[in-house]
Amino acid sequence: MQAALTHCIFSLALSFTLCGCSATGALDATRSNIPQRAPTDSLKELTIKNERLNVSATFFLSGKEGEVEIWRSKDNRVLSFRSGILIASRGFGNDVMVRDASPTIAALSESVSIYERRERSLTSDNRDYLSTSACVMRKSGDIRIRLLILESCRDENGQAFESYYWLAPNGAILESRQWVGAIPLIVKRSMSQP
Amino acid sequence: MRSLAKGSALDPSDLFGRATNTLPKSPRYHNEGVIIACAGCAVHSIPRNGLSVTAIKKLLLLLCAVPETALGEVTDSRVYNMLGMPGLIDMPSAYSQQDADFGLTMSAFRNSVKYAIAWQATEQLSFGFRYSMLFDLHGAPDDPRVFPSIFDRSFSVHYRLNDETNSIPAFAIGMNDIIGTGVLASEYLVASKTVGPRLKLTAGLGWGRLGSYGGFANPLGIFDDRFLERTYDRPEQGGTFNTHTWFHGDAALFGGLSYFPSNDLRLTLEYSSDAYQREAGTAFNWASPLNFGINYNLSRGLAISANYLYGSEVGVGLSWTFNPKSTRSGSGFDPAGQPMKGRTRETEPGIRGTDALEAALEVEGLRLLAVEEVGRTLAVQIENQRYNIVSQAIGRCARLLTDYAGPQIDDFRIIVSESGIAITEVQLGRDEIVAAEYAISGTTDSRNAAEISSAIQSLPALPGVYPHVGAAIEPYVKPSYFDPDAPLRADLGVSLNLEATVGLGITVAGTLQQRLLGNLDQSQRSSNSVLPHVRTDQDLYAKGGSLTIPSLMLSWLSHPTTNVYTRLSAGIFEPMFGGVSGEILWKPQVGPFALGAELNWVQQRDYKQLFEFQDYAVLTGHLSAYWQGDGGFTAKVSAGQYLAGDKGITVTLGKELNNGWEISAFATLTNVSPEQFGEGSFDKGFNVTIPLSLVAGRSRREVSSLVVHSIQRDGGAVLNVPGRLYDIVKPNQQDALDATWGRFWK
Repeated sequence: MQAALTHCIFSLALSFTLCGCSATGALDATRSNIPQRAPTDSLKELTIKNERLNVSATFFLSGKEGEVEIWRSKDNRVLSFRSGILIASRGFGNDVMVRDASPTIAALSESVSIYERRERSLTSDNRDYLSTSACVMRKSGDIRIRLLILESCRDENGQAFESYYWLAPNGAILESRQWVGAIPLIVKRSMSQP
Repeated sequence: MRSLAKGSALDPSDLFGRATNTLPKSPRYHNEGVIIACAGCAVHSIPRNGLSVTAIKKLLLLLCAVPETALGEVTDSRVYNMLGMPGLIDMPSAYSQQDADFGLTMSAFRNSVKYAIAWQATEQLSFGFRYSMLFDLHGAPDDPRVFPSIFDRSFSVHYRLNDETNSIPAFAIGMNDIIGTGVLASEYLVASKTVGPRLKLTAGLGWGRLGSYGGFANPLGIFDDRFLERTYDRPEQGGTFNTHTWFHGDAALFGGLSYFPSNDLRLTLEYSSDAYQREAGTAFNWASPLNFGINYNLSRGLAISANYLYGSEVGVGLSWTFNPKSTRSGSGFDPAGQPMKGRTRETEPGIRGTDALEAALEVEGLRLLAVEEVGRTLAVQIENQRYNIVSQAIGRCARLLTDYAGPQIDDFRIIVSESGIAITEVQLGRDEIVAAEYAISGTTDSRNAAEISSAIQSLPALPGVYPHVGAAIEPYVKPSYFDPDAPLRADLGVSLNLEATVGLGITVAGTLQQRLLGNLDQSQRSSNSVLPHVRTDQDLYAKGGSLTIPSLMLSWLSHPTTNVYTRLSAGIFEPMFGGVSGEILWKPQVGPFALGAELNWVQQRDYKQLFEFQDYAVLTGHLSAYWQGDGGFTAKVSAGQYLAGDKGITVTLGKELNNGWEISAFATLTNVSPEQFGEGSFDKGFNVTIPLSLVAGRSRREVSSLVVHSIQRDGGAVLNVPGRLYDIVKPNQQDALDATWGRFWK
């Protein structure tokens, strides 16, 4: 515990050096410029790449339930998104049963930069497992061209993982890295059918 | 087909990788400095973000949490001693494996080979079973005879008394070879302490084998003089608890240290208090109490070790550890089900095509038996043909009903059938489950929207549902263990399985097997039993014929009242017996207790295992009480008459995981004396049930069961009747559904 605290204090000190933090925060300049993200009905394909294995598959829009888009591969894996944020997966093993996307959605378009994100998963022993991750979001780039947003999270077990979102000027997520369990998925929306 | 990029594989599970339970630890994803840095930034924007101070503190604590392994501390789990128990090289340590770890080990040095299974029953309690092949050793320290070989089965138990803290070491107490010949018998009290990030010390006090080098008067002698002396059993005896020897005789100190240059490498120096009195001078030359070992984790639970032992020998070891609570396939690679669909006004009233629903359910591995619409409730009766966890079958069915039911339907009533009888019904609020699909509290919400009760009455069956005939051709393996001439024998062949459900709970089921190859018929272990040869003629059955009928029976099951189930069966139940069987079971939907009664009149089958019978017939049956406690612990007590006509009681204690993995140990004591029983003294052993879904990574109903008897004799032998009620009813009841309700959404 002492080592952990030391580590934390050291990292906090380092943070001010690296980030050059100020009372207003480095993210403010871009926040107010981020438009609401565009609807994606016209985009019928997603290219999903397992970043670790470097293999890809195409997912097709199979339905919408309210705000949730359901994308299905031909071998019946499913990824569900709300406003471009992955909220559920099936067929991947350690699936995301449900992820609360609201904090990430708010952070992408509002002024929040540190937040909790909850996720429900299922263990091999069929037990429901609700985990909470602490996340921070950083943004860089010019929204008039392309905006890169990094989301760094750490769960209760101390596991850290980083997602990213490339946003188009209209706010649509062009490409993202999102996680299903320990699998980093690169999600690319096809632009062939605008 | 999906489009694949370079390096892709055709197996879907390879496409996205086998699931793991840990996130990658590469610097790319473990950039603590950056995370904390940004947390630091965020602190300054607290007022505008509207986060409370408490929330910020909580977030910072989460962000500052660093996994212990990241600090360089190593764990001593998944390392075994030569007996296959938690330990150093040949000595025990006070550590444990991870809860539910299952370890298979092999260790060998001159004239000694040991195969062992270790199971971590709880976080603190470990059990071990081993098969040892020992050569050129004395039967006991005071026995002048030298046995050319002893093939020995033995059990161990190890209990960690406390967790290690910064100031207090972990303590453990344990016993080896607690039932049996006592060839490997020892008891110990041991402490282990981490003294540096990569160094652990162990010291202990041992008795028996562990009190044989550097021994001194037993300190327990201050309580009773009888602790000062230890008597030794002879290897030709055995089979009973050696309570008269436990913690008796001289005691001695042992210890060692383990150093971990890396997380996967362990170097061990050990001072052993085992003088190997039975082996020294015959099996090998004992020259020193010091042992040196190196252990390396290859990957995924596989580890190898090499040791320099007792100043004269080199030993090797191999271990594989896996945890059924944490498999690589996670919760499984089942293809996704249909999404929950909200009501659409365009849908015609009533169900949208029974045939279409039947076809859709078939795709999901569910057989539609009946449909009924009453008022605003749509009821379906289904038979689950795919899912080993029934809550998943209910979820898959509910998803389809949201699509196929008309908008006027408010509730779904799903009746789950098994072996032709309705067992449980689940009533679900339609709108509630649709709303719960993407809710973070969806498991609780959907369970709150469900009413689960006992289903006594089946719905009127759809036309054509009965009779239903199913057939499958599959390979089979029939193993036999522990024959001293060949510890592992097996037959391989092909099996034709037929099952016809006639309706009203009546089923005809049978199996036809053709042996293709194997060596079971080469056993020369003819029976020397003085009891009727109800089990010990297995070599004659193995030689009886290559085309056999292991089972062929007619069964009638019913569910007459809320908590009562009955079964009547007639025919061939197992390779050795056939006859008639009746059973009644009382098992409520909720509650830890159940009671059962079974009565069978059976006759012994001819060795050819076709339709002929021998003269021996017996009335056998038991009254049974079942208990299922928290944490998956189970108990069963049965009393009655066994196949050889002996009367007695069987106690079974076990642990069951929520995924169906089960391990239990049993012991039977009857009015047969140890002398009449023969080697082993009484029947005992253990049972491991492995759901094949955990192996396949996808839902399957089949399980693989391994029953290991310490010695299979004729006393305490139980009839094997397929389709016993408890196994059919329990997985479909509310307690099982509640324990796995999260899988409703899988």
